[in-house]
Amino acid sequence: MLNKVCCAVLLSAGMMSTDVYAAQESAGASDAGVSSDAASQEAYKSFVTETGNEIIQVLVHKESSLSERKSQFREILQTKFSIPSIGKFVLARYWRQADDAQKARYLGLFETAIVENYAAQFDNYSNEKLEVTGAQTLEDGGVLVSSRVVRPSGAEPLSVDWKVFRQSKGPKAGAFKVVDLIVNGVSMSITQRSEYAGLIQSAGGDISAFLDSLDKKYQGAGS
Amino acid sequence: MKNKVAPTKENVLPKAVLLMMLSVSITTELFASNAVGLGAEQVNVDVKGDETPDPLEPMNRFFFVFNEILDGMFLKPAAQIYDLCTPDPVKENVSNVLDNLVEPVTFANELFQGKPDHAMEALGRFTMNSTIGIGGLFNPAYKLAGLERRKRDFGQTLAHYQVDDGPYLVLPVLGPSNFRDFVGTLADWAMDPFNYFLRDKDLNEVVWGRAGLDAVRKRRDALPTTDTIDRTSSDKYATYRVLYRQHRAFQINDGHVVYKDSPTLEE
Repeated sequence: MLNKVCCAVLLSAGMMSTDVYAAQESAGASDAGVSSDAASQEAYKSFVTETGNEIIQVLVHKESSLSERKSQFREILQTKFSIPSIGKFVLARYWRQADDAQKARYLGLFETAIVENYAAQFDNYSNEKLEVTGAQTLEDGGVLVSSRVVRPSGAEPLSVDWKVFRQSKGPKAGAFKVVDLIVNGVSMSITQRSEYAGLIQSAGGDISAFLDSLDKKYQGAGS
Repeated sequence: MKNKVAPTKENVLPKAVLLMMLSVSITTELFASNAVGLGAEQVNVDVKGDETPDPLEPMNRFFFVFNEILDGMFLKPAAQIYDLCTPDPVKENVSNVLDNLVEPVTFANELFQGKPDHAMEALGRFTMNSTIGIGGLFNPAYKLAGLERRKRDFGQTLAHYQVDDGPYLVLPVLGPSNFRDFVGTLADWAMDPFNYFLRDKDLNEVVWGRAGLDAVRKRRDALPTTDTIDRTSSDKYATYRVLYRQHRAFQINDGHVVYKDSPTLEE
């Protein structure tokens, strides 16, 4: 118990270190989120502001070549998002059926699919502005950071919610990772899960055949 | 938490695709969903990515295809022409006018839901935008007074009173809905004072013109989203269904995410 209190104090003071996380880990899993107060939510909010602006920079930077923009985008994806977490959720029960080689292949293809799908829309953006409007700690320890994206075209602002976790172990302990984006109430992860479930079903439940179809679709775009 | 972005917006984040909005069809405001009666129920996704039953799927798929054909022939081209030929500020004016015209319906639904304070806000927005905003062309209620637009429909009112949404429905021409929201749509249409007034004056064309313009501008707003879906979805019917249910749940929950099933960090 004391351990937890201690962690909470350290966390809210922003004194993150691997040691703190190690202590917290032994104190129990999701304390970081549950005990986080307004002060520690600020760190999540700053992370989202920063990440959102980085993404917008890639989107609006029309002078760069497409391949340059794609690689910048992939870089953001790899550093700020947890592709393995998202990928596992999206594959749902099929994740458990896949062997290690299939999982690895899938995660690579999944990342490429995200890059390609977004890259095809780079031109739809012009001068978006992102403002963070709030944060809420979830029961599972994640923090849902709310933002709105104001668009120059006069269209209604978008409501974008970011589900963010803070890594507690490994060399990157303390780093933030996005695990879902929810746009006007629509979760990218849930939507993608529906898509892949359909594809796997049409492949007769064969995961390798499903992976082949993804591979074919993004051929040449490879990672 | 949360922003109060008017929940009803049909917006589109191109990528992410998804926002759902209009169905591929002429859907306009009728988004409904299945998920949710105020959080009572949740979208439970598993095998199909979306476990909520869809007992009318064969019929729904038929009308979905029908709507896609109509959309391709009429609505989408009209939206593209509108998009190309209209300056952005004018598009904003058009949207403002149309949004302002539904404020009375919002006002009534806020009252039905027992939210007199929100009803007063709707009244305030309507009064301000109709006068200072020159018949609704501008949105001073937001720009000057910070009153964000909020839309309330009768489907939401029914959900507020725990009315079950019933099976998912794809309506011919109107697009994705469900039993509850279809009733809501009819009620909103019937209670709209402008339509009532216009019909009374035998100006039915104006009623239809307004509905048509509303469909076109919403379809225009949805163009990037629908293009993305066209490109990335392997089963558009299933995609629109999952989008619709989530987006509608979000609207009913007052623009807050209904989020019970989501990724966690794997370390």
